Amino acid sequence: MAQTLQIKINGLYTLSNDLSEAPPGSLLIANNVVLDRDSILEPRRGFRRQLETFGSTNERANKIFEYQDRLLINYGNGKMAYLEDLQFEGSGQASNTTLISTTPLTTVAAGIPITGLEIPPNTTVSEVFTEVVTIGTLTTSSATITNIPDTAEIKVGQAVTGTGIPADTYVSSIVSSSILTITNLATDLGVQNLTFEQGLELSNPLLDDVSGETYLIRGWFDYAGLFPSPDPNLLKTQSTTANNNFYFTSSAGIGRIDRYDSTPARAGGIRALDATISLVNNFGFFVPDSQIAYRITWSFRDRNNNLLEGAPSQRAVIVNESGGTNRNVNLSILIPDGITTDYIYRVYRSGFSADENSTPDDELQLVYEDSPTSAEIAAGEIQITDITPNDLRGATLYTSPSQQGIINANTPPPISKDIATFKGSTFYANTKTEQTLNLNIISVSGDQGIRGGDTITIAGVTYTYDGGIPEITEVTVTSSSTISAASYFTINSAHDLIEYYVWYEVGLAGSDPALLGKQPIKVEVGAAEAASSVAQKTAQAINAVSAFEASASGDVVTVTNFDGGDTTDATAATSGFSITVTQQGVDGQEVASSNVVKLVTDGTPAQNIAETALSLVRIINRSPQNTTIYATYNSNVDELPGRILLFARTPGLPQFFITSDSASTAYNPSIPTGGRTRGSTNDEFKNALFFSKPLEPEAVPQLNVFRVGSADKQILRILPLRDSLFILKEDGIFRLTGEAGNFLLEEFDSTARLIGPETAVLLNNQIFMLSDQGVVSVSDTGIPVLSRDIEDSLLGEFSQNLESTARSSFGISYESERKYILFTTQSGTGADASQALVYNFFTKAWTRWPLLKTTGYVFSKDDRLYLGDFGINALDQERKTRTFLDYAEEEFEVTVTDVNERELTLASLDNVEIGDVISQPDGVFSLIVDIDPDSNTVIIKDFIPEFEPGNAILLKGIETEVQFIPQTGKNPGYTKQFRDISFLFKEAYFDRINANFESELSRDPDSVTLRSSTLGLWGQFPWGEVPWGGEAEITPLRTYIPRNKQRCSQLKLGLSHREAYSFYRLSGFSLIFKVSSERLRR
Amino acid sequence: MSYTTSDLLEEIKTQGIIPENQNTLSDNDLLRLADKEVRRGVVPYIMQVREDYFVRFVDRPIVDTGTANAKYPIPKRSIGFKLKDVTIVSNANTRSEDERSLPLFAPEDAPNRQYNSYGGYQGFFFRGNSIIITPAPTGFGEAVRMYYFQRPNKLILPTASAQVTNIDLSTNEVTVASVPTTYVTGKKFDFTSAEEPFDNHSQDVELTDINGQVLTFTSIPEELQIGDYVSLAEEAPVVQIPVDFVPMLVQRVVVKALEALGDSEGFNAARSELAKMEQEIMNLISPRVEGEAKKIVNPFGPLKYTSSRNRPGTIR
Repeated sequence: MAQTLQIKINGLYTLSNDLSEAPPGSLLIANNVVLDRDSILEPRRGFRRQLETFGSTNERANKIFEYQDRLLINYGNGKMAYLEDLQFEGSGQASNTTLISTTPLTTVAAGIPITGLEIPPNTTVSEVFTEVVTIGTLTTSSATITNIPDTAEIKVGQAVTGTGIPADTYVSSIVSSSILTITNLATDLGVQNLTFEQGLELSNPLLDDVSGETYLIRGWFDYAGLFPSPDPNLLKTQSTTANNNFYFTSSAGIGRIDRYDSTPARAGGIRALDATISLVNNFGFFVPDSQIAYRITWSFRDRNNNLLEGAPSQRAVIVNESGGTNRNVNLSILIPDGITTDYIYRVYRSGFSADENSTPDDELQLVYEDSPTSAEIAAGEIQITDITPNDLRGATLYTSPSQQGIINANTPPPISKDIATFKGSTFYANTKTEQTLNLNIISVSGDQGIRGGDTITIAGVTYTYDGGIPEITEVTVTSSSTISAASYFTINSAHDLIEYYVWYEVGLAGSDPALLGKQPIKVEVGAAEAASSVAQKTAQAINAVSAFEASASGDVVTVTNFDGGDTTDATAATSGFSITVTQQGVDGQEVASSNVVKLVTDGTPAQNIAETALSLVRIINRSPQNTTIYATYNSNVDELPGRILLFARTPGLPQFFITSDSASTAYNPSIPTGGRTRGSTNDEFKNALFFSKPLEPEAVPQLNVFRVGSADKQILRILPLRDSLFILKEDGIFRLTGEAGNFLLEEFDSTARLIGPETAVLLNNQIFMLSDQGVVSVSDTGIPVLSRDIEDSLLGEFSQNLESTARSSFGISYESERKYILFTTQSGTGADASQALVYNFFTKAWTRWPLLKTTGYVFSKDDRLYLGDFGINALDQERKTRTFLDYAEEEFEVTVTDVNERELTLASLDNVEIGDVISQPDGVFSLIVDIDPDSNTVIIKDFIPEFEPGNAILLKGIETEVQFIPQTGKNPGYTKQFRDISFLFKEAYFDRINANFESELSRDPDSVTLRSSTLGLWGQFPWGEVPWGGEAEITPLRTYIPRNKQRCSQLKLGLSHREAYSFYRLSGFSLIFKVSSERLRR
Repeated sequence: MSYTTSDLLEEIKTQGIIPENQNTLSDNDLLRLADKEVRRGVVPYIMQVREDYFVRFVDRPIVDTGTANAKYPIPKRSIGFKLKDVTIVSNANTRSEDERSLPLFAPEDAPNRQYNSYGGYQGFFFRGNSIIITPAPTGFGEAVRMYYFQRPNKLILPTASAQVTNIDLSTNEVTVASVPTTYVTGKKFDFTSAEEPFDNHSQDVELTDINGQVLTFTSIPEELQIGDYVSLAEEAPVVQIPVDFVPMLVQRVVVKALEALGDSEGFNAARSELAKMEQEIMNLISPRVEGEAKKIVNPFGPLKYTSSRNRPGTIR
């Protein structure tokens, strides 16, 4: 007689030859079990469906996170919520459903469970009351209140207090926008101050009066807004925690939550816009013959005391010309979208330039800081006067050349598909920026440049350049005989940019008067020409100068300045002319309300371009019609002028387009007159890896970027280990090492490809993930394959179901349990993740949990596994008391209508199965061992006198099944007679378990029910009689092999079990057999 | 001590170290094995000592003198359909019972016995599973008494039997603890004692009515006690062998079980133990009467009876 003593259990092994290669004790089936201890097989813990639901019944959890000891979820179409126990003090009246609170409960949603004194079980919030303080007109002995300014915020059931209102009075109906009725009659009359109290309406009335009692609301509280994943078909929302803030990816950019109950905000500082500056006072800090430059920043200090200073504004430069006095400077600072009174604006100023023609440097120091008022935010601008003496300037702006430079401006993080924090920097992968467009003005005025009246249309808003009004001068001339040689008159181009004099050579007589500072225009006339002829020749000569357009009519020459603008009037310096200014020249204007841009033409070409561009920026930013884009002037010191960056105000906005009717040479590149050929772009870099400044996760300079591998292969995930950040791309794995400021990127492995981005998790300082080579662990030392033993099933999924496998699979890191849990698809069960392949990295064993879930996460606060329930809008929480109570699945409420010793009659047998446990309060529970559907009766294992009619909880059993690889007695070439087997249990706390047998000769399974020799379920035997969670003796359960399974060459044996509150720990088995024949078949 | 089949099964499982949880040898399987071993092992073993264990008799009344009454069937419970003796008895079961033995003829000698004269020899011979008495008996009020070795009832689980909880002799009603589903009116039943030696008080009694747990029979034996068993005919929840043989029966079942399971080592050890038990138990049952030496008497010899009237085979 021979024996197979199998005291080693090795987990699933389905790939190779199980007769020769499989380690002893390997399993073909390992459903709902774990191998957390070497060679000890035991059921997994169960999952309890949480009572707290989120959203609507058809919404499911997409992703679970944690922050500040609370669970957060992304669910449905991108909603986010946090699970919270909210406590408050409440008061109310018996039989009434209104509970008045002392604190606002605006974040509470209807449907959330509430518990507390005198609140019946299963009570939820029906309505939330917000405090409304108002007035109303009472009529004595009337229940109607009139003349309420607005009843919109008042709700039926809300408690009302005030003079003439009896105690315990509530709103009974809203009659109109100014009239309502109350539950008691008023005891006074006239206009009274009324308070409609904050609180809740409950789904059940209070059982008794309560006053100042503590109540608990536990449920999911929604964050305002929607935060869908940037790529919902492939990757769910990712998150990281940095500087005590919670950051997450979304299609609208990176979100930030700085306290669990705060509203998510877009991460990143707000870029300051332009400021309009002007000189004021005849005294002040600003010395004459110099220029100064300003930049403005907006800063924000979050709830975790992190100060984030955004990107500075463009420079605003102003001149105090020579010859004047000291001046102060007025600044009109434009307030961008998103600014609140919590923000701080800072004004930095340069030192004085060398003279009025020198450009000031960019070393800017703080001269002013404050927060905007609500009125200023409403107005959209802040007006301040800078009077700070130069010596009292403060801190240097961080973008100053002596600091980090303007290139390191704190631009916000881009839209990214993954986010991770490594070595103090936060990384953003697979990025997309907001829509931007670079606009370069290269010519202003003249035929080749922008002219007054030209338009430019940006994002659907048309802006018109205002070049001002040109001066028109009429010069009346006489016949040449009356004009003395060298006679002249003066005339000036717009803005007196060039001053001219028009002189006459009469009959070849006369010479140029050569006026200082003026340009000559020579008119040659004969000695006896008529006035009209003189006029013709005069107009002809003036027309040769580009600054004017002239025409003659009779003896009158009409001269029109080419450009608009204020101009010194022409003068008749000598006799022979009379001059009349028929239209005074006027400068161009900025009018934001009508989108009019000032076309500046009174400076040098560079100045004209710069000033016009600045005007365009100001008008774009202030236009009431423009709500989608901002502009900033991007030409820095010593750079060509005219560079404007147009950018979408928020990342999610669509592409915008630009057209213009100016000369094609006015812009570079030229702007078409129509169509949609010149549009904004959002830089989408699949292989981009941006990173923030150290310890400033929201400050992401545009040059802080790596391009990882091929540009057409996207980054799927980034995950940090202790010394490396691994970048998992479609074309391989890359590694980033080093420290902030000195990062080094290198290719790590070009052969392994991630399949299922959600499967990659951090565990044991490694990355576990599902790759095209199966499950692998990535670390600095290599990429070993972990799933070789079960590779056949994974590869089968890849070949049949790759797309849905990649999309639906997700991994869970369970550090304390040493488990990598890979939820993935299963052939024949649809495209959802319907099984979990569970790997223990200590025992190196695989088991399988057939569970259909949407997502999962191990919450560090309670070290429990939470799973997204596939069937309802709730999470499933792992049972983890480390007692027998852990071994049950979801619960259902049942009603016991009758008790007759071991027979319990239930109102319904829905969900009831043999192996479930029925439980009542105070620890009364027993196992259901039989069901009579005819009488709705269940038979429980134990007679427990405490069972009584009433509510009860039904706990579902966990269905476990294991099957070992075929047992051959070390020689599958002989037929053997397998006689009996002893299953060696380290602990066997169950009522019964089935031993299952199959052989190659008899394939239909035969089952033998084994009864445990222990006294019963945990909790139902006296203390001390059996070990309670401690060491237990090996408990063998022996049975004979069923007759028609005894003779075979390969015997498959296993166990199956389904009982709630029961478990076992299998250590192995002993199988007795003898060789009976060398013939395997006839 | 209880000797029900449950106790027997428990003993077998303990002795054979048979797992508590197994389907290979069910309780019914083990009882079938035990029943088989009773018939092919234990009973023959006991019978070989020829101490008249299992001997029972049945009286067949002689009600007519016709030749038809010359044929009497052998009792169906007779082991091997063999008889120990055949007698003619008068005043059966009374104090004045008178019994004379019939000699066994060879069938070929029967024709020579076909005369009808007083004082002639009368005997019997076998024809099939009956005996033919020749000359045919004619005595009014007499009976043919057949002694035979009665086969023990087939072993069944106690749950397949009904244990008596109340008896009403006047109405032939028996109240039982529970009524197995196989009990239907018209079937024959045995009343078996729950006490050693577990004899049947009466056999093949017809059930006429079932009313809840009350069973009505055509008759019930006066010996019936509360706690006794009512079982389908030829079945019993107790082992109807001397209790001293129960260990041997257990051992025999264990041997067969181990043999069936292919446990050759266990089988050999158990068989060796069985041999020792058989040797030891032989001394227990033979002789059955220690104080008296067994005398060999020729029943047909001249010294057996003083008058020809009482001589065996004498026809009156």
